[in-house]
Amino acid sequence: MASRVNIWGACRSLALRPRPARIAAQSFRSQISSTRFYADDATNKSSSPPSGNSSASGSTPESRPGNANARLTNELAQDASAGTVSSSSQARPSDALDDAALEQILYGGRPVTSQREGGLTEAQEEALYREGVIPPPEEAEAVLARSEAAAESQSIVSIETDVQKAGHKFGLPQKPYPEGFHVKKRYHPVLEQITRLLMRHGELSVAQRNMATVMNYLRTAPAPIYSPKFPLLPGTPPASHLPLNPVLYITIAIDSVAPLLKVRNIAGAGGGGRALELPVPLAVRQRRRMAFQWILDVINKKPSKGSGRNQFAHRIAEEIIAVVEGRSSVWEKRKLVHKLGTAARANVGSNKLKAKKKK
Amino acid sequence: MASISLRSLVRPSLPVAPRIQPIIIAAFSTTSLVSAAAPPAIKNRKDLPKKTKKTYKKKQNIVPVKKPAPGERKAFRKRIQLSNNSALPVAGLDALEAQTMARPESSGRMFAVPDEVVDQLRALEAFKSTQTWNLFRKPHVLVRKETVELMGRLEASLEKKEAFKCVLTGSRLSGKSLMLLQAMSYALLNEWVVIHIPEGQDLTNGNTEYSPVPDTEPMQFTQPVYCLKLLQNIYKANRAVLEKTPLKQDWSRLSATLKPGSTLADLALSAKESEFAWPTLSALWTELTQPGQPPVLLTLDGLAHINKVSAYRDPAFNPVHAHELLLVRTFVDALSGKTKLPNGGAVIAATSQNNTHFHPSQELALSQLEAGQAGKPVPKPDPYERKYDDRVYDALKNSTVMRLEGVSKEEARVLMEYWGASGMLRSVLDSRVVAEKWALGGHGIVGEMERASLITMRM
Repeated sequence: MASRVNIWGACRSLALRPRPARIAAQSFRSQISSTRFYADDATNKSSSPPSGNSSASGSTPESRPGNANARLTNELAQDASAGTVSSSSQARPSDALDDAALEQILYGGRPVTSQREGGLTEAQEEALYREGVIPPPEEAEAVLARSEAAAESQSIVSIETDVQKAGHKFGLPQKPYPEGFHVKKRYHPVLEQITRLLMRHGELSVAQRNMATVMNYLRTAPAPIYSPKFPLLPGTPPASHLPLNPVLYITIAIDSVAPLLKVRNIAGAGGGGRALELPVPLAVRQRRRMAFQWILDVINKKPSKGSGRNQFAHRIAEEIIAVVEGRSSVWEKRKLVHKLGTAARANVGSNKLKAKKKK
Repeated sequence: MASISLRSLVRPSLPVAPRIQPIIIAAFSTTSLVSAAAPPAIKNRKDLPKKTKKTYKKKQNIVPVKKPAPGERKAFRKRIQLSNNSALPVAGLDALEAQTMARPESSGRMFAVPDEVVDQLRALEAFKSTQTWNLFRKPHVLVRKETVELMGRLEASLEKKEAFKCVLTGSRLSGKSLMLLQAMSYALLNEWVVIHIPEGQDLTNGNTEYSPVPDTEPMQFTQPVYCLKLLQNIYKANRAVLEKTPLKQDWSRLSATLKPGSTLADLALSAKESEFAWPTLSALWTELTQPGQPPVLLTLDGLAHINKVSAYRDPAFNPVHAHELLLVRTFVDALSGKTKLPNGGAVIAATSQNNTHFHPSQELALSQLEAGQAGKPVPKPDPYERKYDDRVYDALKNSTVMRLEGVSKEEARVLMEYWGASGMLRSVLDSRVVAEKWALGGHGIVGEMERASLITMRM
């Protein structure tokens, strides 16, 4: 118990700001198709956002359980202001936040699973795949609307330029491209990244078959039982929603164990020939890569339980289930990295670093 | 004599009688022998003791992993899973009834297989691990145009009191084994007796025991262990029918328990050991081919394997033709019409395209039959081919060939709607998607459509 308190206490002055997602210049999925989304189900529900209240909901972060990043920065700012005010009354600023509050900040102030009955909306899923966090539905809709508007304006421009540039026999295809238009962007972006990570000996099609087997294993396995000890990504849908959406299942597992930062060792900057340990925030793809590498490390050490060519895929799927259920040793690795990052937090704005740069 | 004279030449000393020589048991001593062996003699530099490098590395502690018992891995790989609790139950689909599949109006619809039939089919080993039953909540089957046709022929065989003899063929993954399964469920629902040989290969690849039948020329063989297992499967699957069918003949020579009033179930159960399996099985088959007994469906998957020269050898080490194996011969006689089924019924063999070898005479016979049915010119045998087998031609010449290829787009749509309703297909299902998967699946080859839409990274 004591160690846990120390960790939270140590986190207090750590200003962790995962890189905010850049919507306009996103490279994750170049265009969001206006016709259909990954998560669209057979009903083909319209995903057009409510237009009016996006700005209103954006201005009141306290009224809703918020995006982890936004809340973190917001509350840290509040914390700083409170510290300046109450410094005279000898209360340390970090004490203004108790452990429960900190846990709320770091886990986005939401319970492990969302309270809503249903799963995620399409906009929320899209945001998860793009940014690695699950925003509340209104905010996700707003973001989606903005990006759609941007895409539409781009497409209008492109059509106009098309008209000017005569000479194409059949004309250029219109943006946004339909689903499956680009042969190299045929698969879901998260799966694409993971598949290439689990590829062995450059055999991509084997890796893709393994990935398909993993997804079928997840679809046939019973719904996971969430562990309260290892909270998943804030806003995770109820467990019964995961098996039939294996992409979401995998993404939730990987984004939940993904580390927020890594510790860079800057040679010689620590003084006395020591390396300076500098915590660096990671982007979404980097975080996912690290998490999946950890999972792969565990898998490679596990013996397989059966025989045949599906064993590798089965081990991956079992490990993904273990991560979601909190049984995996990958959680320990994440904890370790975060602990190290917390310990080295003082080095973030270090003078030694500047001196090193000057040289 | 010569050897003695030679020995006397070599060794001039007189041979001593062995009895006279003293037998030394052990030297009398109270001290034990030196237990340590003498160090090896040092003859050159290589024999000198070598200096070994001392390592200070910690030895990695290897955790002993409990390995699965022999056969356990394979059993895990081959297990048959018929339900998936994560999949959504599909509402609004009827269950199969006795005459459902024979009716033309049920063509192009999905039907649930009733639970008791599922158990029976499982006992018959009709489900295969390569089929995608494990993705869905309950086994459902699509009744295709060909299904209705086949079931109509089965129904007609009852009227004619004559066996319907059929070979199912068609390209890979086109649903031949599933058609067998449908025929079996039709037969089970109509209270026929179903005998199914799940894999022809098991009979001829030499993996099951065989024993010769005395006084046969050429020598014939039985496969006692396989026959015992088959008998047990027949009993498990057809228990209800067998229990209410009395014996027509006196089989008390097989077992003392078989009284005149006994049923076929008693006969099937009377074989407790493998040496009585074949006599009992042939007795059961004789009973079933008597008039007044229930109709029989005899099916086999993997036809090419029972038409070849088997992996078995006779006592003179000559290869044994598969038709000399009595179980195979029973099937072949029924397929060729040599054994009549006076109560109606069917003999259906399915070729396999995954696990097969090229069999020239089988290919020729099937193509000739098919051309004859279609009224096309009958293909002639290749004059340069030496491996034609007349026995195969005789076995197949009286059967009907039914070719299975892709499903139509309407049937594909029904199938994909079922997949979508089970939650296995997440994309919007419109005619474009159906046409896409239909085309990707080689114009509606069902297995290929499954590959393109269920067993893929893109869903």
